[in-house]
Amino acid sequence: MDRDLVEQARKGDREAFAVLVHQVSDSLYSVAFRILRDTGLAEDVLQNALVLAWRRLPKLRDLDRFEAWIYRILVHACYDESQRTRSWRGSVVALPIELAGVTDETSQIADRDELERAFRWLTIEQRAVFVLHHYLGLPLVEVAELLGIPAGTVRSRLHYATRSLRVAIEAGAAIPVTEGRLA
Amino acid sequence: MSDDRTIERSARAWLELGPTQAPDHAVEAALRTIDTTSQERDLRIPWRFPTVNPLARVVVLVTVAIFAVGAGLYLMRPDALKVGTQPSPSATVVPSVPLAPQSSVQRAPFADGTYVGRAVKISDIIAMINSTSYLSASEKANLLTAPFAQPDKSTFNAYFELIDRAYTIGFTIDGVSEVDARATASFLDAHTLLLQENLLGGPLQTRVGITVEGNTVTMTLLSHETPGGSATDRFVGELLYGSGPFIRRP
Repeated sequence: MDRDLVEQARKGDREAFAVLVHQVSDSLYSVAFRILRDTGLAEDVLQNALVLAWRRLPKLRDLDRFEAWIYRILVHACYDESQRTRSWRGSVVALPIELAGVTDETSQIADRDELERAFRWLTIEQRAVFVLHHYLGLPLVEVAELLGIPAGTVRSRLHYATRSLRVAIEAGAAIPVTEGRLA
Repeated sequence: MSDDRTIERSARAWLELGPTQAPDHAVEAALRTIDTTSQERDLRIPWRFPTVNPLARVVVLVTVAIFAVGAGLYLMRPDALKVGTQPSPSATVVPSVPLAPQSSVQRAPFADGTYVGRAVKISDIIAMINSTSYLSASEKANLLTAPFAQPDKSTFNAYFELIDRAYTIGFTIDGVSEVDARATASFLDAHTLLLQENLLGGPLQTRVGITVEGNTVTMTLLSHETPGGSATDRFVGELLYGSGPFIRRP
């Protein structure tokens, strides 16, 4: 990330910030989608995070940490969106997926469906840790710093996320899933 | 698909699926909003003089070092290490004062609510920007784009709000409010307000001196962290805190 651009944007240069936005928006959107599992919500969160980042940019202390800082804003925007849409939740019971005698390809699709359903069963905080670690490839200490929480908490959330995924997948059909909006 | 390693491998492959490009319309919508949105100012307003005489700096450091060594030697003197000795007859007797339970957070010396500063003419603010010597030409140009420096507006009022330790400082322009910064407030004593902003890289602290008279609060910036602070921030801070006293809105 270009430090000079961040500095200019910090001083109120909107054009500099627009350049930064074009550099980071794909990655931010990808992360938001993977946490929220909904393209519409991910778009809303991306927009909110970018506007909030612009407003708060003068408070960024270490210009070299711009990227981590804006990811932190994004993840918190995901938390807010999750809170806001919680009341939209509606549960249905997934139908069992018949795996006997299926091909490898079909089995992979079934696995994806299981993962999709199981992932929605995780808390938003667990999802964030899981995505930052497994999708962005951040080490746990960096995830901890980015989220502003202790490394032990990150480790614990990741552990419970993985365990919950395993339990949910093994439970298969009995998992409640959400319809439409975020779980 | 049962053990944790297998789950993680499958989950990583699954996470790779899905969109990887932000829709243009979402990005453009955000940029349009940003075009009409002003930035929050930093509470970290530089309070030190920008240049310090190197000799003065050395003198201060040496003085502090001498004081620290002296204090250390005093505390480590043999008398201080004895336990259970009788005080000498000439020793000063310090009256015993019952100590209140120690707490870093005191009760707020004024009620929660919104406190509004005096009205300042926008034309006066524009004149202040143009005549402030520590601002560079580009900083003046930047400040003149701020909401409080628009010639078609007339009145500026700074305000702060304290509700259950959540502190907000901002201003209104012709009655339309704009938040400048948010922080968590605690009172170190009846005259010192500690503002804490939780930013990436750790909390950021600002101390503000306060004087309360009934429903009126006068504020003075005591200290704050300065890294990255700019002259623009300093000006905005002086404008906000300097436009007190702040009177509680009924």
